[in-house]
Amino acid sequence: MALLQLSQLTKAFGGLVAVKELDLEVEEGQITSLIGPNGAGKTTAFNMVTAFYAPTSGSVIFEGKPVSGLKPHDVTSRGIARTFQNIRLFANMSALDNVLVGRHCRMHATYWGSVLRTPFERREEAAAIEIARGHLDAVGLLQRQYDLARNLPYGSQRRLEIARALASEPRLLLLDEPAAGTNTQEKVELAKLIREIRDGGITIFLIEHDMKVVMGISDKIAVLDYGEKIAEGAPQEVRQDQRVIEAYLGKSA
Amino acid sequence: MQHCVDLLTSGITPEGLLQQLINGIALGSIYALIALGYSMVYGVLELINFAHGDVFMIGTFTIYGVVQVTHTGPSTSLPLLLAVLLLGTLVAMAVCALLGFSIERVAYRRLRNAPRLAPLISAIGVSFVLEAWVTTYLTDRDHALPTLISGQWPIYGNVSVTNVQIVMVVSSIAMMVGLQFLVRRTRLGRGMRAVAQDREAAALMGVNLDSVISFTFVIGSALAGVAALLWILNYSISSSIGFLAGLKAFTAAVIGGIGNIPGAMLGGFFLGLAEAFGAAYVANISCGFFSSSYQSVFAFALLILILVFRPSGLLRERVSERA
Amino acid sequence: MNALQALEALLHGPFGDFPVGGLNFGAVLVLAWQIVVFGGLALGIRTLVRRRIRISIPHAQAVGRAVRRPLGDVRVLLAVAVVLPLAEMLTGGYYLTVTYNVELYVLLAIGLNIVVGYTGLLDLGYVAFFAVGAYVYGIFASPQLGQTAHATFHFLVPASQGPGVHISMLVMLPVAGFAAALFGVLIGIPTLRLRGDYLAIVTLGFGEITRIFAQNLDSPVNITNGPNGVTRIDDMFIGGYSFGDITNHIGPVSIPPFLNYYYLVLLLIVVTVFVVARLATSRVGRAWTAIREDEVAAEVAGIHTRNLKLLAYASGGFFGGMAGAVFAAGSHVIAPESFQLFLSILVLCMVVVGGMGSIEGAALGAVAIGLPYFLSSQLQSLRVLIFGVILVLMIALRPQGLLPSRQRQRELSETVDDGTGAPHVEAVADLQQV
Repeated sequence: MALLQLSQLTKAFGGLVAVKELDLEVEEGQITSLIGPNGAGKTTAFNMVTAFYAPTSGSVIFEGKPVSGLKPHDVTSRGIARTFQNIRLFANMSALDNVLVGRHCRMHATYWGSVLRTPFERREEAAAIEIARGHLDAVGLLQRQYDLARNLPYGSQRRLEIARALASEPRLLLLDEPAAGTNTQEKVELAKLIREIRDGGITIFLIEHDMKVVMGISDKIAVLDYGEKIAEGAPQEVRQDQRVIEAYLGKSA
Repeated sequence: MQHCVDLLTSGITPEGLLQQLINGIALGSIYALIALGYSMVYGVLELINFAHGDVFMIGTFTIYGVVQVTHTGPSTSLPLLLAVLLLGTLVAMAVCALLGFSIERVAYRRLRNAPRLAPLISAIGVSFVLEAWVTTYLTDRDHALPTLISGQWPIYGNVSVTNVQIVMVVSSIAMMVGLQFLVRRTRLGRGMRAVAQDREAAALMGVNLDSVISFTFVIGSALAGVAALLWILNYSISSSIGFLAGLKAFTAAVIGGIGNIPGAMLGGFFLGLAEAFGAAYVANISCGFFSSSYQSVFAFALLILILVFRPSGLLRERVSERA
Repeated sequence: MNALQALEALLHGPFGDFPVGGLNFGAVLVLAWQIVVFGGLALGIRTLVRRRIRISIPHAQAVGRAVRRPLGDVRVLLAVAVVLPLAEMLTGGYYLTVTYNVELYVLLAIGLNIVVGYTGLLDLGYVAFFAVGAYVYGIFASPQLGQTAHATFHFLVPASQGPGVHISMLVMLPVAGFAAALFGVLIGIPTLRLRGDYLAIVTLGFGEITRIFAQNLDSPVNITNGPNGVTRIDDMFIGGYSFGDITNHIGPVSIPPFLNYYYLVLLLIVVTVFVVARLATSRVGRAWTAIREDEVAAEVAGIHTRNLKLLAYASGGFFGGMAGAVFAAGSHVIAPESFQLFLSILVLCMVVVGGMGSIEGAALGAVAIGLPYFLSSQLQSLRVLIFGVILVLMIALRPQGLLPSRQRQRELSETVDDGTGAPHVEAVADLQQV
């Protein structure tokens, strides 16, 4: 059974149907991509997976259990982490602190534990810092761990957001246009990073506009247009799908 | 128990209800006029102009001063009286407008792109300055004008409408209509609406941001000058009236949907009615537990309820991400 | 002229007492040492509380040591804080009263800083917590409850004036704190969805409602004694030692009541800074800061934003409530007019002027604003005018505050990026806050 299962997922804002009866399965250990023209409803779909929006109808099943009714932070605890299309870091916190915040839901120090600074709290905090540094290292930011997030260059900020998401030990990682605004070199590195994360056992669900990145790393691609899925399959199949070329590639190519 | 039933049945009469309805609408017209100033500024700058209530307070003192200087009293002939009040209102509008304009220049303009806390603190500072200035250098006592406009019209039973109440409602509605025209039909009004939608975009499209914002402050403050007239025809004045009146007017603006001109008007009347009925009947409804000394609580409670359950106000959705 | 008179003359200034609200040489001296002591204590304790974690970069270690060196100063500062009031006492005790009041401001500012500075929740009704703490102590440590009991159940409580309840401060201080914390949660729940200005205005409303209730809850059951307030409140006492007993003495030296309160609040400040600094550098404090920076991202990062915001209100409320209890005991009388909106704004300005999100900034702001404000009470409304002008100027000229938290400081000072990725000195100092 798929790790994440969207069935008949629909979201309407007033009269506007942003996502319409979307069926999609994200298989464990794979990179699944969601593509489509601007405004096709991709981010809306993400927002429903992370319980940010309640679906108008349909369901999101993660590891066999429905996501609906949960709060976003519960979803994170359950093992779904995400990044944002427009970077949302904690600007005035250090890179390390950003990642530590990402670990929040895997830590158990209580309020009183923090005040009393119990041995458990000290150990946990020390361990969390080690782990966070590991994540920073993985995205190549260990050298800048004490820099404020806002002072990092754009590409680094994108990678820091990924490190923060990884810190919550997700089973499924949602990346919303991670390559947006990055240069060619950074895109190559990003693709490599995403593969490494996948090889580390984390399933990836990706929204991306950059076709090189998408075609290069995806195991499966689904195409949305006006909220409806118009194609799904391996990169090669999607690339040759007539409807996709018309609706999406045709327009931009 | 019987006591409570008695309070409910005998305390509330049709005449009483009608009288409170009239009182509430009259009171509401003051709130509405002040609320317009809050609403316009918030619409354009997303700033709670804490000093607005104190601008209004300065307006009341201006009219008071004009009436005193001209030795106007109950014995003054009606045409002369009206002329003096008109003159006083015009002077108050000018003073308030100038004050609003200066406050924006001195305390807010630099802070347009600062964190949101900064202009709020600055506004609080200006409010303190105005209130303390009056207390220190003008007067720290209550002042009131004698009854200048008398006469009333009986409506039903022993219920009547006073001439003052008619003046209040008519002038506030006239002001709102005029304002609507200004905002909907003139070039400056279009600029204001554009800035309210998206400040940066409006500036890029050639709207002169500074002059639109200054203009907004001038108009809003001038309306407070009109509100000052309505206030002083009814109530006494002191340096501290600005704060509470301002807070209630802000509540009215929020109730109607902040940034929305008819909404501010509606909110003002709504709040006036809520206060009038609340003060009159809370003891009857709560079995004597609450009394009219809780009057200010109604405004606050209403504000909290509206913000929590319907933050976009009664009239229209205009919720900004930042609010 | 003996030494004592010399000291007295020094404190009251070579020019004598200025008519301008006691703003004289002595006042300036008091201001100076209070800034050093309270600001320094807060900074020192915060430094003490920082985590000593292993630092992998050699350069950072050196800087870390350099930063840690002033630690010894906390002891010195504490000694100063303990000894100097004795000198003040010798000069007649007026400045002791002043210092004690400033201490209360420090406590309030540090408490509010949790809510506004760390968590970014703009609270204009902080005075409500102060009031709740004061009334809880006042009602349970005065004849008030006895009178009410007699008035309400005169068939049960026959005494013409019931004895009331008189509970020790060891119980009442935490009780007042927790009552205010609970109140914070109750106020917090309906405001969870609100942000920025709207939150400010709603908390302001709650603050005013609290005051109006205090003013009117003398009927139908007399709880607060209405506009007259609760009177004859007990001094704090531990065992048989009453803080207000003027016959207290050590050897031949008598101990004035305010000296007791001074030490009590000093202890509370030290404990509060300690607790807050530890919270700030833990999972909880990090979550608070994350909420301040971006609430949506914090929620998505797995933070239970609702609970943590309520926790921030409760924590801020706790310290405000304790300050209120001490205030009630020290002044023996509390009335609704002590809990005006103005106090909320005053404390907020202390936090903002000091530098939001920094404990030592809050302490410093409390002294820098609280002391002149308190000393200039003779100026009456003029001091409000001056205060307003300073507020406007301050925000215009130095919006980040006098002593911003290091994070924000860096944000403002950082102009050079050497591009090597080597940590900057200030960045390394940040490390200690992790």
